[in-house]
Amino acid sequence: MPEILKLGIIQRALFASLLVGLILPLSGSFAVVRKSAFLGAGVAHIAFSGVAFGLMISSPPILWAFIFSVLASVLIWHGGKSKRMDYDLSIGILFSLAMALGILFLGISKKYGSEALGYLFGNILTTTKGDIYTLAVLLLLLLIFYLAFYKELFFMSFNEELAEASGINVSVFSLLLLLSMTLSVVASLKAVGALLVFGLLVMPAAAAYQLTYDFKKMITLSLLFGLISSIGGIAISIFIDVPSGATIVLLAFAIFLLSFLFSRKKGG
Amino acid sequence: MKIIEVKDVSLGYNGKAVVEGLSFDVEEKDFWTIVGPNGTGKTTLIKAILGLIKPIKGKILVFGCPVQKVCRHRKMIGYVPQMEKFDPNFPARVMDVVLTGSYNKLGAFKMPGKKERERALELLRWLGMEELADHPIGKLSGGQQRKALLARALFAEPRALILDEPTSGVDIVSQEKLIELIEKVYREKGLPVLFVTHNVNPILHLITNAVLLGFGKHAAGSREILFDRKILREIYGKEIEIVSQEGRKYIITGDYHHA
Repeated sequence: MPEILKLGIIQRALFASLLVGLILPLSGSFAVVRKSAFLGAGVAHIAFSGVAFGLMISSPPILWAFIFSVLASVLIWHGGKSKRMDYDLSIGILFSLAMALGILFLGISKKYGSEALGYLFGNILTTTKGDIYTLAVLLLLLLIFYLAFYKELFFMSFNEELAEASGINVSVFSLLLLLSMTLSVVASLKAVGALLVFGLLVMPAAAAYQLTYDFKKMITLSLLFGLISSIGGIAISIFIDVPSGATIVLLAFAIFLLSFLFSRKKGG
Repeated sequence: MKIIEVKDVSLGYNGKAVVEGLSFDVEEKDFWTIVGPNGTGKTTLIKAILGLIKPIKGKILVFGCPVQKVCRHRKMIGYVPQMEKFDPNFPARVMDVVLTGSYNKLGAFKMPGKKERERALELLRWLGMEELADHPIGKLSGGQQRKALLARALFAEPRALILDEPTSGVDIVSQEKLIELIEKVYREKGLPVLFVTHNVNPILHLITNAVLLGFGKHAAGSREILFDRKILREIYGKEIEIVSQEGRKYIITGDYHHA
């Protein structure tokens, strides 16, 4: 084993990237087929305002990221359910509000330091054992959720009205899907950062979407691309000393580009 | 036996009624059509029967059970929704779509197995589209997509069928084939059918009863009301021509859109 891999910090970073590389594309697959990928970007920025709030009041930032993004998710869900507002519109409004609040909180607290930047750009090398346990538990919960309700989630992604007419509680499952994505984003914030988490959420799934008409295969490919991007990205970033989050997302983009170019799917 | 009971029902959105005080019963072996100009509440009525929206007033019972209650009976209705074309790139094949008809009978963690696949194939064969089982659903023509949705609806062995404008957006040849298949389902499986349409002429030979929906007016009863000029004038707000040709009657409503 290369010496560098024996370092605890590197081992933790690799474990974290492996887990994040599975968690985000798993949630992202449903976001992509449901055409609600922008939700991921919104949730990530809303989570960052929670981080800024936590830093301002000297309370655990991730806890506040979680509270802010869950509240926002429930609001977005409720807006969509009552049909008073499109998802995109409510996300756009909350997205801007969250960024304004985040900058305001950081301005008040005068904490533009490395910790805030860490959550914005991500630093997988700061991952602790506790973070890895949290990610592992989340992955397990997500796997149980998606396996238990795959049928309902697939059916409503295909056609909500038909699913509802068949007795599926589409409203409840939409909220659960939204919350599962929110949890995935918040848990991955430290590793990939608020600005880049969206990339790993969407790009592996979007790449897989280009290559198959089988949803199960799409999820499998999405997980594979997520793993290649995250493990490959972290390895490249360690060996050539460049920021890890950016490397992971650039690798995910390269995979997406190849899939797009070689896809047999055409529009219309 | 009464399959669907619509009792003095008023329907609409945001408290504003589109249909008021409608009553009719669907019984075994009935073939009902729901017909009328655009915007008169045809799809709203179907959604209320399926329990997707609440009536403003009145009661709807399916197999004796109020549709707003969570009862198993609601799942005994096969439904083919009114639809635009599917996303051509959506990752689902015809087989996947037909198998969604088996989901009600499978618990958490359970996926459709060999038995379900065989039944899905058998249904596709019966509908003459077995060779399309592995085709992406979004790549099929409108008519083929409706057939796949019909197979999906039949998978769960429903006790009644609701078809919301199954022939709209389908070319004339596919339309005829689709109606032949619906006739086959109606006659061979003996299922009561509710068929929403703008144009009753292609299904006139099947219709036993009709609901006519107009703006603020309605009529429900046996098929004869379709040929009652007075009722048609009230529903459409204009004279409707009834033409007889080769022993068959045709109702010429033209395209009617509320101003």
